Amino acid sequence: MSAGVISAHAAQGGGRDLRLDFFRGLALIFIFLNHIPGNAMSWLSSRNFGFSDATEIFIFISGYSVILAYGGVIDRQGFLPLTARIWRRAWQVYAAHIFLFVVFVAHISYVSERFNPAFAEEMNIGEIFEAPHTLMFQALILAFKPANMDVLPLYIVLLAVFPPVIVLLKRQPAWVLAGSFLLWLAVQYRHWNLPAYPDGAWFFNPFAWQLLFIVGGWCALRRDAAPWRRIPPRLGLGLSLAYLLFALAIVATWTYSPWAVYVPVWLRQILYPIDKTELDVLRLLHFLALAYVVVVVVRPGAAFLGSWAARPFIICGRHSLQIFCTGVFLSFLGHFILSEVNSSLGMQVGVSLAGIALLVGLAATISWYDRASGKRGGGSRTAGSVTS
Amino acid sequence: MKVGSLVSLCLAAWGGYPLAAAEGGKDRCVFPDELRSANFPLPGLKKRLQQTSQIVVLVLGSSSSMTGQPARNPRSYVQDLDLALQAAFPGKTFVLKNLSKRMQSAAEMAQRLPADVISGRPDLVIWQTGTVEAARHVDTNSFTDALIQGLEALRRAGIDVILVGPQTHNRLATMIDVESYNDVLGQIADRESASFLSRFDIMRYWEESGTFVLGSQDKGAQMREAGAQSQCITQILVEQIRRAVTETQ
Repeated sequence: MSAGVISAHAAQGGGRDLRLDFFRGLALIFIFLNHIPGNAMSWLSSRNFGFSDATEIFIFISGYSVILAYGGVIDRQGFLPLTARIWRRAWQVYAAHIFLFVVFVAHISYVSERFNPAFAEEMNIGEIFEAPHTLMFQALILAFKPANMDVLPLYIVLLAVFPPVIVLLKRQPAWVLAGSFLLWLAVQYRHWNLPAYPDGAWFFNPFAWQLLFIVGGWCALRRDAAPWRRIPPRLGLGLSLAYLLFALAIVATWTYSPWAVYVPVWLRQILYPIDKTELDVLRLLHFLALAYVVVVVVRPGAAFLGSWAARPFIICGRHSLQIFCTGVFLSFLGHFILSEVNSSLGMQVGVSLAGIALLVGLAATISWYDRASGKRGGGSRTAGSVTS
Repeated sequence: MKVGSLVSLCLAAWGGYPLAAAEGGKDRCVFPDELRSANFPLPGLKKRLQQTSQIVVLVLGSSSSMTGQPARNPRSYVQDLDLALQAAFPGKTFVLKNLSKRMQSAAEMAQRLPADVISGRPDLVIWQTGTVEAARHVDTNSFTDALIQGLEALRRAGIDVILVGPQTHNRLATMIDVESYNDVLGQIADRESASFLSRFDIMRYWEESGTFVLGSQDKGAQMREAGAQSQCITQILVEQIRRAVTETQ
């Protein structure tokens, strides 16, 4: 943990802001549950209650955490050491992504052997194996991304370009925020994106999602001044809660399709499509409203953060790269069990709970190892680094 | 009464339609009400049903909508759709035109609309899409644009449309992200007040409830089960059309 982080935490009451760890851990568990296809337990996750989902939480907290972890490096050591450290981190995330890709290839190779021909024709499954060298190359340059493996490439790209952004963010935060917003706005109309393989573009458009990452970084830099506290709480909470309830009502019509006819035609035409690729404004506002409510309602020293119930999420949140990657690996395994052994509701619950237990167990083991090897606080090396 | 049960009864009453979707006396086509499409009207078709005895239905889709395919492919939901419609609307004759093609994307289909679809003045278009986009990782914005462009062209021409979403199978889920494209279809259908049959949601329910056994190692059994599943989709599609013309203003 950097000196800057320690002093910032001290300003918040002498310890780390456990809210970050808790909500990042919660997002990681949601992402794990959502990544197991056909898993009823994913209904617990935030995506079923509003426009945004765990990805927004993860990317925002990642931006926030990068500033906490590396923001002080620029002052103490300068730009090059900062760049070297962030790029080393990006490289580690890249290596983790490629490892997961290898697991993915093993998984689909097995499945395609036993695959139901009823669907093979339409889904064109064989095509990706027709030129394995091309597939491997496209995966290495992050152009080919299997289903549910889109978040890490986004994070890698955001990390790779972040060193100069940190410098600018510390000097001209308002300009950086304005530039980030304008880029996001331009993407909504121009649809700039990176190309993907075999067709199309990145599922998480980095030119759009950078906004949440940078807003997260900006919030971390301004956490002591906390400009959001200048909003009258009654007004801020009123507007935020009204919007969250509105989103809940609309999402209910997705869950129970026949209700869609009760949404006025003019409103449906304004609302849809709510695009995830380009971080639709409705998703962005939903996340910001949610974050505002959480920040106002959950104080840094909230009692529940010290409870045993919050502990598993907090320790998962402290080791997010390991937990994210293990979560993707376990979601492959969980999916394999559900599709090859038994997909009953009981099995879905069992697989989900077993996966969560393994993730928490892993996080606890890493914390123990960090303590045993003398790293401060058993994971505080990651005080805020997402994935550090 | 559940949708599938009602349609099964109609078809059984007609007597000429094989009920392979029923097994051991149990109707396997049932699914929860919340997975039903919003009941948006089909005013053009409703009017034509009142005016004429011959209705032209045009199908535009990819592989799963193709009929007369090689034996390695299972029965399509489009097979015998005309007979099922005739059973649901006694006294009417349904002429089926199928323009489906393998690996045809929504954008390609939207381009075909003026020359191949609208010019023929069908009374109903069944537009199946989404799987090809998922397989090719097509940008969801392009998919959205193609859908809106196509639906608006059909609306301007006064032709009713039912959207049919992609199929699913849990084994495939890590290879191909069908759900994202199904979500786009659902949202665009709501936006355009278009009827939408979400095969994805219904088939996922069947899979979770163990209604159809598609994971068997016996490829022949897999094909039979997939065919029975398609037969259920035919029934559900017909029931959706019936509700749209009889239960809406």
